Amino acid sequence: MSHINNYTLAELQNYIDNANVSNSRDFNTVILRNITVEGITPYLRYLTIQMGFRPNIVFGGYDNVLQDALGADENLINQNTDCIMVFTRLETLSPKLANSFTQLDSEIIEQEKDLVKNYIVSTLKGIRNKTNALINWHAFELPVYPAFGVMDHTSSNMQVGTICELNDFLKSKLREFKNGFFIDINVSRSVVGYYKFYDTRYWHIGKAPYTLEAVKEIANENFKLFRALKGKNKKCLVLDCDNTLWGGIIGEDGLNGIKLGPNYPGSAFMEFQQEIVSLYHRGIIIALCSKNNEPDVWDVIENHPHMVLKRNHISITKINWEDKAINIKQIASTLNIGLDSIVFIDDNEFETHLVEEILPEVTTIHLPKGKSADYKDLLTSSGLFDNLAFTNEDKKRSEFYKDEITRKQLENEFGGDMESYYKSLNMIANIDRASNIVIPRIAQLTQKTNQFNLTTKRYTESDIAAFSKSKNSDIIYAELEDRFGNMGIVGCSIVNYSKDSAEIDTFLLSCRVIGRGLEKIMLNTCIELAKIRNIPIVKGSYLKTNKNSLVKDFYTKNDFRSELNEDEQEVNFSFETINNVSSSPMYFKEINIKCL
Amino acid sequence: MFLHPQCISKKLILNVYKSKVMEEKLRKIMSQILNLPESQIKSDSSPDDLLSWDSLNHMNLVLAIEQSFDLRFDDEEIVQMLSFEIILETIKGKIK
Repeated sequence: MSHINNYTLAELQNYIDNANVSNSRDFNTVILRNITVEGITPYLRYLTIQMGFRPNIVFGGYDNVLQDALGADENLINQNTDCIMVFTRLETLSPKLANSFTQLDSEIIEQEKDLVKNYIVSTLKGIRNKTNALINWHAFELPVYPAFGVMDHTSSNMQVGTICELNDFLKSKLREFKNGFFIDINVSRSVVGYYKFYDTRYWHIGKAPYTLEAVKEIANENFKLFRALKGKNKKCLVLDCDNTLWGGIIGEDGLNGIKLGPNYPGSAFMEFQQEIVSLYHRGIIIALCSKNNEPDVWDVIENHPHMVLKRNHISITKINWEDKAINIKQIASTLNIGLDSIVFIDDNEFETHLVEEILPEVTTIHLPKGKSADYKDLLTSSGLFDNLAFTNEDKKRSEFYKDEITRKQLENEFGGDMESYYKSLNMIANIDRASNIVIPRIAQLTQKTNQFNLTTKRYTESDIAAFSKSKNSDIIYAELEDRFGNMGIVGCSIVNYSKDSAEIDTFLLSCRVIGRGLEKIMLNTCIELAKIRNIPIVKGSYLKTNKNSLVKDFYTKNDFRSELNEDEQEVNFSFETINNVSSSPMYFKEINIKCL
Repeated sequence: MFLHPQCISKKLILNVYKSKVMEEKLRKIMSQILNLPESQIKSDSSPDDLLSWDSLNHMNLVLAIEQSFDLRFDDEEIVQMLSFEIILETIKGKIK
């Protein structure tokens, strides 16, 4: 995967013009702004194409943010909009606060603050009336040389304090209106450097404040969120060991010879390991892939006094002398995750090039030799693991995967007698209607689930909240527990009711629980819910993707009839509720359907 | 001071070569930014005859040239750089 830093603007433009995106889905971006920021377009296009989508970027009118939010132009913001980027620079929104602060008395300052705050609320209301799309609102820039100079910070009523108050207000309103995110452009500015961030000539010539470096960094920040929105955030980190987790080679230098400890360079490796542990606690699966004798590696992990990464953080290891691409493929299949969910880190260019060549969907990071102090930033700056929410399931994810490996081992012991195996799991299934607290998890499931997903519709938290509130829809979810642990919420279904039919808009199951029959319980529940409302028909459809062929016959297997016009890409099914449903699997220890 | 004729011609050849390279580099950048084949970028090409050379693309052009040639144009230069020929001369002037 080429990196945006490798291209000049001209080369980037060339790449974009020649990219083949005819088979990709559209990613519709709207930019509302009070500055000229068209310069960001090639960077957004490039990142959209890298993400696997066809870019469609539309700019609102110059300094027309509120009008565009309230206006009637359906071509701008509509149901197809994926995301809205908002740039409201204070220099244009409130020139008094930005440029002539020392002339203002407290009454005028209050007036200006209210003006800005009302602008924010009205704009958010206007946008939300039209769409639940992701809103990325860029922060108000803090002056580097504030109005009152070095003493500006001594009172919260001076310039910096005032602008911070506006930023805090913006953040709280973004939370309130849901699915809104604060892009801290001040941080982007500190990464690029103040003197490389602004193009003062073009601010005067055409109200275009930012340099190429600046818009590149801003685009990168926005894309950390867009990737999470589209479920492209990474879920698993696969790490080499020698010269990655510690300095040196354990097989040659021995436990006392490797560099890991309070002195440089060992301290840099400890810091890098801490970053990995932090990712573990964010729900990222940690795996090792190292060419070593296995006991040597475990010797370090168990016995080295300065190991920060411990056995319990690690879900799976492939420590052998085999090809790393094969090992990573095995890791992906054991964990039942896509190769595109994996980040692979190694200090050896041979390995990183190999994996890049053979497994291009894996994102590889090469650690440059001798620069261990830079490793932590290389990992954190990527934002590859950034997600839109942090749920309970995320917190416990690594435990789930360890349980999963234990389950697979047990499965092997039953040698194919699946019913006995399932019975031995002592499974407890709970089905219930969605409540507020589970909304983030359900939204996450719709965004990430690819295989057992009948229609692959991606929803945000506000979408799910809307379904949940509606009297003509039900969202039910399935929670599964077995003797190895509680797996949390692992499936959901969204049903829309009309007088004549109940339509299953969404029906999905986490890949970890495929094949256990939980889907049967969920489907039966959907049918029961329709029966209760005296609805005669339940309808479902299968929308083909290149990942969900396993559910092509799901409805047919469950006694639904398929409709005659069989289009390969979309097939419709129906079930008359007057018929009886076949019973749920008998090997569950307990089935609790709380919504009937 | 006596300059050997061979030295003069070598220097001349080198200068002509450098100028050619610069010209080709500029033409390539303009072709990429304006999304036009290089053959359409002529000496007197200007915003008047190339449709895609609007004010936005002029800015992109200026920034792309600065990035590729590692230069910085001042305000006056930016607003005057309105044909291939003028841009080339401006770049040459700054590199000396």
